Formats: sequence, C-alpha cells, structure tokens
Amino acid sequence: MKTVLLSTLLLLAVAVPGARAADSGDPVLGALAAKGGWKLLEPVRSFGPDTLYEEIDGEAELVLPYGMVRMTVAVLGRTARAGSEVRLEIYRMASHRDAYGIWSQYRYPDQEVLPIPPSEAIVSDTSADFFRGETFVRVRSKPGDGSRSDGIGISSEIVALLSGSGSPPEEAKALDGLPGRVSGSTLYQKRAMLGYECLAPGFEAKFSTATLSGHYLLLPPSADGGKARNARLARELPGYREVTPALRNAKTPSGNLWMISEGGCVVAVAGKISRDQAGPLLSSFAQRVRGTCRPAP
Amino acid sequence: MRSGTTRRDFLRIMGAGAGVAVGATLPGIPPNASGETSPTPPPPEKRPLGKTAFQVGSVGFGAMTTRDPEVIRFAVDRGIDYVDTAARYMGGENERIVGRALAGIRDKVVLATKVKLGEVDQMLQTAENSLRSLKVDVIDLLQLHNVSTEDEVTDERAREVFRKLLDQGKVRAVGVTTHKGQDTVLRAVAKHGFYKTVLVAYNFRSDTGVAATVKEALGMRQGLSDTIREVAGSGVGVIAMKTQAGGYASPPGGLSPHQAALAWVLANPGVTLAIPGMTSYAQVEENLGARGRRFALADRIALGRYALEIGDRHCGLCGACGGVCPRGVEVPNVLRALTYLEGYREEDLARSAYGSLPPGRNAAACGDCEACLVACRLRLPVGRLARRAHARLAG
Repeated sequence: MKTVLLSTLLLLAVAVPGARAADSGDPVLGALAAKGGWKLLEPVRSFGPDTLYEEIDGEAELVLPYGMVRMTVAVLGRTARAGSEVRLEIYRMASHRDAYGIWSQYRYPDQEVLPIPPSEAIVSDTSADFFRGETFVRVRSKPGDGSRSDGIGISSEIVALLSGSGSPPEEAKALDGLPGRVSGSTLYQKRAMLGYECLAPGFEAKFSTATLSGHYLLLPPSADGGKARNARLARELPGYREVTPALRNAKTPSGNLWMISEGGCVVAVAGKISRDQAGPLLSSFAQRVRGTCRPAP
Repeated sequence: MRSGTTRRDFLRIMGAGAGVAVGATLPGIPPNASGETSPTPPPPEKRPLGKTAFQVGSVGFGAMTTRDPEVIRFAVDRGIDYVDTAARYMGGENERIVGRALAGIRDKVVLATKVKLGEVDQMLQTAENSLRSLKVDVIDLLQLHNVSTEDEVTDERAREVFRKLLDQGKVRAVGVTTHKGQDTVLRAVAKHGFYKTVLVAYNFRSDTGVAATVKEALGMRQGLSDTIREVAGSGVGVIAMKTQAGGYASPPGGLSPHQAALAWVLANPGVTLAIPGMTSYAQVEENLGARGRRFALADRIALGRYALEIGDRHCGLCGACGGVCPRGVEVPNVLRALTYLEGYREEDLARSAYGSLPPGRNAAACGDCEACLVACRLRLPVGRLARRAHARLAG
C-alpha cells in the first residue's frame, strides 16, 4: 500500500505545476547565459504569488499588492573569478507602474543611487535594486572583495537585456520636482497612504521647507471619473468637509489633509499646515501635475 | 490521530456545510473601513508568552509593511501591546519607522525584532544597529530570523551572540522565526530549550496541498496545528504570522475574512498571539475585532462560510490552468483579472487585464458549458470564478 502511495506521490510531484526540477527560470537568464561571463551556481527556482512566502519571508506581503506575476531566483558566479557569488531575484510585475512601486518601497532618503542606463539602482556594497519596464530586480552579492562590482556589474548587464522604460512614472516625476521634496522619499503606494486605504493607490512624497513639513499626495484618476472615490474619501476620512467647492479638508493623525482636484487627479498636502499655507503648496502642485494625470494602465 | 488543518477539516470543525448561509456578524467589525475609532475596546486578555516574562494580548502588530508610524501609535493606543519588526525589513528602514512610532510609548509594548544567522561579529553589529534604529536600550524579544533546520536552532554562533546580549541586558528574551521546515524547527526549539519563542507561518491554509496530504496519509508527519499545540504545551511561546493567507480585502457589506482567518488561528490554544501585518487604521480596527472571540455556533458557521469565500477567491496565479479549456478560454488570465479585482481591489487593472484578452478568449466563451474541465490545483471552482469574472469585468 505504501509503495502505491509513494508512487502516487512521485507522480503527483512530477505533475504538480512549478515542480522545481523542471524550472526554466526567467527569459533574461537565458539571455545572460548567452552573453557569457556568468555561470549558474544553483538550480534556478521560480515562485508565484502563492509560493513567494516560501522564499522571501514576510516581505511577500510587501510585494503581492503590486501584482506580482512570477519571481525567479538565480545564484550565479563570475566564470572568471572563483568565489564570486550573486543572488538575483527577478520579479515580473503587473505593470511598469507596479515595478516602480515595489522598487520605491526599498528607496529611502540617504541611500546611494547609481545610474545603470536606462534605469537607476539603489546600491550598497552588497546590493543593487532596480526596475525596468514591468520587471523589478534585486541583486545581492556575497560580501567580500569584488562584491560591489559584482552587484553593479550584473545589474548593468541585466538592465540592458530588459525592455521598457527605466524611468519613474510621470506622476512620480511630478512629485520629484515639488518644493522641499525630500530626495528619495517618493513612493507609489498600493494599500494605503497616511494609514488610509481610501487614499490608495497613489503617489506620496515627504517635503520639508524652512517653515513647513509634511507629505505631498497624488491620487491618479479613477475608472469612474472620481465619483466613487470622492464618496469614499468623504465617508472614510476623519473630519472630512468641503471647505469650498474646490477645497476639501480632513483631520488625520498625520495632520491637516488638504485636497483639491486637478484633471481627474486628487492632489493633496498633509501635515501641520493651515489653510493659508496649503493654498500655495496645492497651487504649485496642481500646476506641476497638469497634463500628467492619467488612469492606471 | 490525524488532525491537520486541511480545508475540508476546517469546514468540518467549524460546522459549515454546503449551502449554509448565515447572516451572523462578529462584534468589533467596523461598520465601514473608515479608520475612525469605534468605542475603546476592552483591555485585551493577557496571556503568558511561553516561558518569557511577557504577558501579551492575542493580537500583535506586524509592522513589516507599515510605512506610517501613526498607524502603529494608533494600534498601541487601541491596546495592542506587541510590535514585530526585523533588521532586514525595508532595508532597515522599518525598524526606524517603529522607533519613531514608539517614542514616548515604548513601555506599552513588547518589542520584537530579528537578526539573521551569520558570523558572531556580524550578528552583534546587526543587533546594535537595531537598538539604534529602534531608539531603545533594550529589545524585548530578539529572534533568529528565518530558521529552517535543527542545525540552525543549535547553531553555536547564534547562541553565543544571544547569551552575550542577554548578559549585557540589551535583550530580554530570545526566539526564532521559521517559514520552512516549521515542524522541525518547532520541535527542535522545544527539544533544545534555549529559545523561548517560535514565530511561525500559520493560517487556515496550513498543511494543505498535495504533498502535505499524501505525507499525512503515509503517517510521515503530523499537522502543523498539532505540532503547535504540542510544543506550546512544553512551554514554548508560539506566535503566528501570515495569518491572513493572502491579504484579501473584505467584501463590501459582508463579514470580514480577515477576522475569520485571524480567529481561526487564535482558536488554537497553542498560539499565544498572532501578528497580522497592518498598514492602515482600518486594518487595526478589523484585527482588533477578532481579539478575545469565543466561538459560538453561529460564529463557527459564519467562519465556515468565510473559508469557502476565501478559498474560492484565492487564486495562486500559478498559470497551471492554461491551455486546458476546450473552448479556448484563457483561464489563467481570466482568474488573474478577477484576483486583481477581488484580491488587490485594483478595478482599473482588472478591467484592463480582462479587456486585453483576445476575442473569444474571455469567459464569454464559457457560454452554456455546464461542466468545466479545467482543474485547479487549489481546487477552486474555475467555471464559477470565470463566470463571475465575466459578470464583473466585461463591458
């Protein structure tokens, strides 16, 4: 009986989709192999949204809202140098915006960012994170001599093998140019902004000027033209009120939230900000995003 | 006795049968997802966390994805007394966020973080960095991060580090976290006695899947639920993570699957507390609603219905159902679109994904097909889901 069951188990293991032994990995790995210079040190493994937890710990919760389709892990070493070891995590996401979004979750002020055309990578001595098109890539190199050049080197090679834009979405670029924006603080948030789900999805950046600090928020146009979202904002934001037909306000733990509409977007500032102070900020914000507001692809 | 937590077992335990429809509600569910505070909940029932000196409520705060310190402060204000982070989350930024959140309220929580196994100097450095990032003098619970074997549980480098930190008063208790080989790790911790807690991935989908089912049939393992009960009985504090099994949204106007999933985890007496991840005020309220629940019959039936709901919607996006439908429906893409809609609440993305299917490849082609031939490895009712996707996304 046990023999029968064990045979069944083996058969099922072969039949179960994603069986690891047959994993062919991500197409970019084939292209990398064709170029030469790197060799696989371990079998390639791939994960879907339901199995990502098996590989990357609780961080899967961070990735999944960005529509992860597939993640491939490969460990490679330079053919020319024994001892070098680089771990790649290649995430195929739902869209370019999502790939940027998950990349932005690993971006913080004061990090080192290097151009790896046409993208840029968040780097350290042992890591590099970048995105291009719908792909987000994390590179981790084994600490030691050459780890930094290994990480940046393979990142430069991979980014050239990917397609699509390496630039942030237009909305993120619009935030980047706002007065006092804290460098490296721009995010694309899928779950919540300032702790409120009704404010997501949207773009967020911190700002700090000589007299004020807080957050810029940009909510892209929604499918229904904003009706349902506006109703939800009114329902879910504490102390929500329409100050004027154009200006809305809510009282959040993060401070006063001031909102106006611009071309289907909602632009907002939050912080210890009075109505008089909010006016110029919102005005320059609205001017900045004019023409860039479009629904999520 | 075999008592793993397969979906079928769950339904049986919770007393839900096919066709049961109950309108029972669980107290504590916010009337909407507003983040506005409902009346202050009663103080949580405290329970000992294994053989540590800590007494904690049953719902802690998983901060791993939390960006806004105010959400953590709100949770502590609402009675949550355990906050979990790790040195590696968000490249170290998560500990700084938690540190900012706990300024002035540090003494109200048990603060847990994690360090990866490595060389002694490296681990000590990581722990020192954590103290700085968290802006605290002492970490209540330092856990060896992501352990999957008995060898890691007995690794002498980690023990040396933890002993030193305990002696220096920089750490109050030590534990491990595990995602793979969880049964092995739980038993190893109970056997060797050095670590006081195990943070384990545990939800209503634990122990499901072909391999687990066959292994259980062969008597090769017990279910995770049993192992948790057993090691908790020997004094190990068991903390549950990934309790939501995918982070699905609450259906509008319906009962909360999150609460049901959380209540299911907490029904295991071996689990001291669960630490669902939270990013919003609404999630804090929702999770607090599951605290202190005792199962009445109506709750069991309602939870059974939740399990069906969650199970029905939890497409793993594995793609294995592709190329099977004789009518040419691109089932993986249809289900993906539905997952975007119902799982991630991304209506634009869902409509875009569904709308991009070539003519004749969406679920309109299901037509009058009565018996869907497409099998799902998670046993989802593919035909029903495809029709639902079409009803909600076509046009």
